Formats: sequence, C-alpha cells, structure tokens
Amino acid sequence: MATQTVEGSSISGPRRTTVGDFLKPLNSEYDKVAPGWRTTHLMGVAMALFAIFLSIILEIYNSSILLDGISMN
Amino acid sequence: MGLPWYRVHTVVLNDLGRLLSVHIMHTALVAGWAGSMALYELAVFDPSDPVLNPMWRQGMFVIPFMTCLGITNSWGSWSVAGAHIVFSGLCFLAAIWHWRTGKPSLDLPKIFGIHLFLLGVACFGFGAFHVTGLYDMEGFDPFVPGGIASHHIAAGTLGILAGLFHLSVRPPQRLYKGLRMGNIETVLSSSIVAVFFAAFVVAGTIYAGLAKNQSLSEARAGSMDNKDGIAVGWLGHPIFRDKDGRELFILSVTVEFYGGEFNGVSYSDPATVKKYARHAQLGENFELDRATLKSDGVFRSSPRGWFTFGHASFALLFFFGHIWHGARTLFRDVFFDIDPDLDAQVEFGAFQKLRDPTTRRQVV
Repeated sequence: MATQTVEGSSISGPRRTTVGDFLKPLNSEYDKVAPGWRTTHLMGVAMALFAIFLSIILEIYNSSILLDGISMN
Repeated sequence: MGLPWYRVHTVVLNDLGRLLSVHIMHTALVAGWAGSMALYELAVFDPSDPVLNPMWRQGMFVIPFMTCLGITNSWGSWSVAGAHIVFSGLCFLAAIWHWRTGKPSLDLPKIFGIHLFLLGVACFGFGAFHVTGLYDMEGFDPFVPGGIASHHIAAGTLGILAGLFHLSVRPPQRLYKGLRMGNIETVLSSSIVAVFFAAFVVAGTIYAGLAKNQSLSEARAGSMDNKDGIAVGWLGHPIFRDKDGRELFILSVTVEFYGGEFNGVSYSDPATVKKYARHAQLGENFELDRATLKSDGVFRSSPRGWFTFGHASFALLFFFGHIWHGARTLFRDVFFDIDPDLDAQVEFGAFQKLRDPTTRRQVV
C-alpha cells in the first residue's frame, strides 16, 4: 500500500484552509450527547405515528380503506 | 503478506478522505451506466410499431423509466443520456481529488442532520419543479393521491423539518451508545437496510404491475392456489374421443378465426387444428418475423421479469449484509482482537465481580 508523504506536513497538526475554517464549527461536536434517554420517547411516538400514516396510505391505495372522495379505478 | 482479499476495503475505514473518494467513484459508475445504457438503447430502439413491437419486447430497460418521467421524444432522451455521462465524468474527477488521507473523527449525527435537510430541500424542489409545468403528465399533478409530485413535496417537507430537528438536538446518550453512533460501521449497516428495503419494495411492485400506473390485469399477485385452487388429487390422463371411439380432433373439430389477419378463415384438417389449439394455449396467436433478428424460438423473460428476479436476489443478499455489518457493529468489543493497550477491555462481562450487580461497569 503506497502512502504518500505530503510536503509541508509538520507536527503542528492538520492543514488549515479558508473553507476548512468556515466549516470547522460543523465538525466540532464529535461524541457530544444529550444525557440519558432524553428525546427517545418522542422518537418512539414519531415512529408509531409514521407507521400508522404509511399503513393508512397503503390501505387507501389498496382499496382496503374506502373514502368517499377517493376512487381507485 | 497483507490483508486477505475479503478485507481489502477496510483500508478506507479510518481514512475519511479516501472513504469519501470511493463512494464518489461508485456514484460515477452508477451515473455512467445510466447514461451509457440510455445511449445504447436509443441507438437500437425501433419506435415504428408501438402495438406489436413495443419497447419491452425489444428488451429496452431504461427507456420505459424515462417515458414514465415524461420524456417522450428522442431529443429529451439524448440530453438525459448526455447529462448523466457528463455528471459521471465530474464525479470521477471529484473522486480523484478526494483521494487523500484525513484525521478520523466525524460528527456523524451532525452529518446526518445536514444531509437530511439538504435532501429534503432537493426532494421538495423536485416535486414543486415538476408541478410548474416543465413536463406534462397526470402523474405530476400534486392533487393525485400517491402521485409522483405530491409524494416528493410531502416527503421533502418532512425531510426539511426532520433535518432541522436533528441539527438542533443531540442524540440521547443511551441511543448513542446502544446504536454505536461513533462508529462508521453503524452507518454502513443502516445504509444497507435502505438498499434491501427499497429492492424488496420495487421487486414486488414491478411484479404486480403497480408501478408506472399499469393495470393489474396483466400480472396478478398471489399464489397459483389463489388462481386455480388447491390440488387435492390427480384425476388421470384425459383422452378425448367422439361417439365412434376416435380421438378428438380427428374429424369433428374445426378452428375459425375472428378478427385479425385470419378473419373468417376456418380449417378442418386435424394437423392444422391441433397446431392452432396448442398455440392458443400459450396466449394469442401472432404472425412473427423470425428472420430479422434470427430469433431462436427459446422462451425469454421480459425486462420486467428480469428486473423482479434481479432485485429480489440482490435484496436477499443485502439483507444478509445488513445482519452481518449490524452484528459486527453491535458486538465489536467481542468480535475484534484484544488491543494490548486497552486495559479496560481485558475483563469481559457486565459486572467487574462475577454475579455482583453492585460492581456494574460504569459507562463513560
């Protein structure tokens, strides 16, 4: 496996660029978490609602649920 | 010496520039295939007889999809093919640019939030863009339930809202640890889920003819038992005879054609009658040109048949792949070799003292 040495690399750390400095805040919170379970219950509720939504639109399209305004011909 | 062949791709795991680069190269290949396939099909497609020689009998694969999205003339098709090839070339160059090493620590939840937001914008834009009249099809009516444009507008809105949520809320520690959100293999495992799920859905809908607004009459879903019933006994070989004990078709049956090229013509000689009876068993009778393409008469499957078979097969493989990478992610601590520098890993088990819950290991 060929590893190329980048000229100008020193022990001062990774290379800094203008775009890199601009984007740095977006990659600065590595491993940061909210304590405990926090929003997990909200996620559970959202998953359940989404599952119900998908079941509804599937059964409308399948004509297992019949609505007055919608006809599947 | 070095890695065994089935582990060679691990060299990009801890090297993010190269990980990105190989993904972009894959995108270049995908887009390049789409453009090349479109180019080839356009070169051999014969649009002169859409009734008896439709595109699917000619083995066209991507042209039906382009037609579904509203491209009905050849200039549109050539532009789509060209655009994909140009895009593929740009991706190729980008992949080469990114082929550099980098420090291995990415904020994956943040990346997820950004990507979901951007995808939501693009998805919404696709739906709204196609409603404003660039292409002219009922499928693009936002008020058609289940329609293409209405789906993208709704899904795009959901993507934007969910993206903003994920950008402002950090994941709970329990889920971060439980799903190993610091390890990129968890991303791989969940991506494989998306692929196999899509493959199963798409194999099923193409099989049932629901995709592209086709009618259900051509290919009903469900087992053959739902069609003929459940077999409970064999009745024996049937021999048909007329009242004089002779086998059927010898003298008493004729065949007459209604409509089509043989309209009004009838045959009574047994060989001809038998021939048309056998052909009718397999479907409508057609006059076929076997000379032009030197057709060999062997049964072939349609593009839809191959699509279904191929996608179902890949879906199964990707399901296995998800289980594999998911297991590797969740059981990483017992799957890999023990690192001599990691003294916290030397003793296994939830408790530091056997069967003593008060000595439970504290999670950092």
